[in-house]
Amino acid sequence: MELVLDNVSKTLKRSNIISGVSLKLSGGHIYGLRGYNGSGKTMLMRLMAGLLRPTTGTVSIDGKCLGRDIDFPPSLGLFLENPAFLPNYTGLENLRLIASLRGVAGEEQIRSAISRVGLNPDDKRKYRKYSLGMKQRLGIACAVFEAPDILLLDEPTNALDTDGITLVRNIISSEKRRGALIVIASHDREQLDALADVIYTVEHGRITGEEKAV
Amino acid sequence: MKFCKLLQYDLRRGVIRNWTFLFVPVCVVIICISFRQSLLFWQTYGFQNVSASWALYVADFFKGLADVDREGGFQIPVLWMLGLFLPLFITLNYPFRDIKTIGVQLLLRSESRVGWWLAKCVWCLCCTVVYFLLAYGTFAVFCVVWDIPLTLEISGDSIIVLFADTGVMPDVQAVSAGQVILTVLVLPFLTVTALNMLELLLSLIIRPVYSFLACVSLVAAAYAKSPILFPNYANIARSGAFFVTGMDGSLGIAICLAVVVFSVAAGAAVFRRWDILPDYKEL
Repeated sequence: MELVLDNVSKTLKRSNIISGVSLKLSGGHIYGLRGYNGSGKTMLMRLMAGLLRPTTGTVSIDGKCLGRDIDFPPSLGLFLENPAFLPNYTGLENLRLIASLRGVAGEEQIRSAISRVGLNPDDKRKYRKYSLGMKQRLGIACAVFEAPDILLLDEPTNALDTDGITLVRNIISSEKRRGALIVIASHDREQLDALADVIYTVEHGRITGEEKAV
Repeated sequence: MKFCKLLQYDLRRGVIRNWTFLFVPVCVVIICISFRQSLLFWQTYGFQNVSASWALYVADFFKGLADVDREGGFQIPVLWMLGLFLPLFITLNYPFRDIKTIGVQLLLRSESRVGWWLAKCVWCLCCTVVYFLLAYGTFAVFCVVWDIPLTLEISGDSIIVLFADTGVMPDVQAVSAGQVILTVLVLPFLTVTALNMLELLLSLIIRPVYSFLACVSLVAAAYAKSPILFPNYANIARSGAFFVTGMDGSLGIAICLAVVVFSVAAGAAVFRRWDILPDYKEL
């Protein structure tokens, strides 16, 4: 699995939010995007997910260009900041609904993903009754339950307590061992240092630095 | 398969759980009571041969505004506007609210932007069908309760009474069942479908609320009697079936279908390049 950004730029409302970003990412590695709020990390993630179309340049997955050959990466788990699900469904029901579209994950995988993030799959509470941390955990479960080839996680440990952060770190590490290509956007240096193989610094929509894990 | 799943989801979330449909029977009942009072009033003033029918009640809903240059003068056709604005309101928010939440996960898994757009177009069409079924059904229930025949008959004094408050006299004594089906049932349905599809398309380009206002303006622009302003075709007081100088229904069908096809095709092209942004980055 290879995700390549070739000289990608994005302009929104006449403002350059991403400028000339080129990256080559491959499966079995964790890549970190570090930067301050508004530096362009989230937009870069959305470009990789196919939710935004580059103004110039290309994003390609295994040689297939997003927007030309395919609309979205074929096997993608996406965790966006502040995930939102159906408020009147339980966590299990929400994931069942999402799973029904592709049909690659069965009931067992859904329940297992919910348990892995420390939630109870048989919890009868509706999503609207969830705490912020529980919502965050369900979002992580949603990203990983189909064992995707590409995992894009935007601030995955925000709003999590210490136990939650440890759980999420363990999940990310096990997804890496499975061979997934993982990109984490975070402003938390410590978290990225603990997980990422390569950390890119994003400033004003540009990649201004690259650090490899020791 | 994925398209069917998306559509199934849209119908469940955007039709069955769409509470705004509840406004339809409420509005129709108010309209029915008002029209019944009006019929009783005209019967008291000498129009003894008014034979009310289901079609007459529906025709009153979409009666609209007579030609401004005719002797009736200008009146704001409140009921007619309600009949066209309500479905625009019902179909206003769902697709673009959904894509900011769980919908984005479904879109990614559907792997097709065009598929997502087409599912929303079918959803929009289904909303229009449900709107008309609810409206016509409520008219039918009202007619059954008040012992009014469920027929397509609009003739004699009924026609005069129908247009009495618009200040114009119809040029015909009776209209055939075929004309009633075209003018009272088909053209309002096609016009509303075209308006809803146009609103869906415009919501990709401007905010949904502005798209709603643009379509409302288009309806209001039907103050001018122009064959291009297609909301005119849902205006029975300007129909060729009742007035010699009225609008041509077959042209109305062609224009409304053209608007629907254009909206679906243009929307698919726009959505292929459409940026799915978080709310705080919205244009």
